[in-house]
Amino acid sequence: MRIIFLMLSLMLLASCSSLGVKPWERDILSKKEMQFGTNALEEGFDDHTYFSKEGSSGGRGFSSGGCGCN
Amino acid sequence: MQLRPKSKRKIGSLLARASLALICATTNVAKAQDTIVNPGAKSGYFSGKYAELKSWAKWSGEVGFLGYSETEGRVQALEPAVTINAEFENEKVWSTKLVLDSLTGASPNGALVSGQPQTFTTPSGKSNYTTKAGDIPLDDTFKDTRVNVSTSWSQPLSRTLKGSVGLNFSTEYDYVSLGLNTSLTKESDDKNTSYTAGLAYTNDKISAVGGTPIPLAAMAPSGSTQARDGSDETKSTYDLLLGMSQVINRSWIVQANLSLGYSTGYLNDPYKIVTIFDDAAGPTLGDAQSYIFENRPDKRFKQSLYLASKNNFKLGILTTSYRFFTDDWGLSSHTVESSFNYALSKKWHIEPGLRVYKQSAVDFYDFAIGNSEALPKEVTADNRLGDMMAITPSIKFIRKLQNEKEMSLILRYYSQTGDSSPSEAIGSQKGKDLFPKVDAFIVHLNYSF
Repeated sequence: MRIIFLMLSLMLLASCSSLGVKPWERDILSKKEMQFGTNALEEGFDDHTYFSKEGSSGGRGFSSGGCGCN
Repeated sequence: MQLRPKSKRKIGSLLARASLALICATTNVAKAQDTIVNPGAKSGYFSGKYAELKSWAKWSGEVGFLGYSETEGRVQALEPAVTINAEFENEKVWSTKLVLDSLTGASPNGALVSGQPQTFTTPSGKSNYTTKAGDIPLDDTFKDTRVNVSTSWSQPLSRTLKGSVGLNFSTEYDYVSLGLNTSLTKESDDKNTSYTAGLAYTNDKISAVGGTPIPLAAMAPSGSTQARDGSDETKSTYDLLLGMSQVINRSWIVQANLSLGYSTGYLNDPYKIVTIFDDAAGPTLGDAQSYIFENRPDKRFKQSLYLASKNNFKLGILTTSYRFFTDDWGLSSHTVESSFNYALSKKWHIEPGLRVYKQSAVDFYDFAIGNSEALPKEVTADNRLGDMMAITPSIKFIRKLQNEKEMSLILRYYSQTGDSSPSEAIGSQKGKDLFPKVDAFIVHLNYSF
């Protein structure tokens, strides 16, 4: 329940009009290192390694299983 | 059944094989690129077909390799992977990923360290293996190769809405999985905010070697009738993901994901056992007497909140994330990760990082059961569900290439520790390491094209 409340609060944050940039201010944000999900293969390797050795899974994407390793 | 002798892989050999794999991959890509530049290099029919394929879509992808090696002869894994993306007109993308996962080495079977040698029956029931007194019981009879193929299609549905559908298939000798997923992403007009909703369904079939063990039944000696119910088992998982990302300012972007997952069906590990020990005062107090197969609930409801932030500073880019995970088995965990990308030059970047993970055990975790105790309905001695902590320092080297492509090498060291001396330890259990530490070297090699 607390998790859902925190998530809704974060979504409300997005409604603050002072957040964000104009289209011509995206120079830094266009860098690969400033984008989420651009290292998909690396993140896939990490997720698989960690959920094979631990009791938690997911977070960044779906809590993938699909194997007998967890 | 895999009865090949254990192979010992040293880190140097692992890295040499990894380097060779990457060199071969890059050489093949370079040859393909050379053919694109010089179509005359291959004449006639094939060069024509190749040019036709190349013009069909805008191609990109990634080749990667994971090497994982635990110390003291435990689990070793080699995992090559490739992702290929075909981008068509109007931002439609078809993406396919292939992963091969080869596992060898020895894995804890859940039994407790004992003051006496211990003999265990292999999963097939046809033979056994012995652990010396004071050693961690490890099952080294499993050798596994898994093939995983996933494919997805994504396309814009309107100026600010994008949808995707995907399929995931995985097969190994005792486990087959098929999954479907779909998602919608909505961007604000100014592209500063995006919302994502995703659904996934996975159906797995578990065909344990030797047959599914009867939960909580005693492990029988090799060659005798084993406690098996003779059938395959299934597991279904439903996942919901709600996410959002928000640009804060020119140098700062954040992301938040809420994930809910519900699994039902066979959730046990069919190869894990729990020690029943002698809890009567005497010379054998604390020694193992027998072993039973574990049993977990047949439902699990998982929830997690994931928060991430990327900040650009003058010196470099800081990425930080936090994940809180909890479920109805009583497990909860906190994961904090951070890395700092520093540009050594225009072409070379270095990125040190650290991951810290802390987990509290599921309600039905126990390191072992005294023989005078009533047998619980659910119990596991699988350390992966126990109280534990894991620390992973890492370093990533990135070589930037033309057209925003790059190669990278990542080195990580995974170290997991738990309660080696629980207060409940008695007799011969005292002074023994009852939660074996896990130490593993991890190497990633990646090349994007």
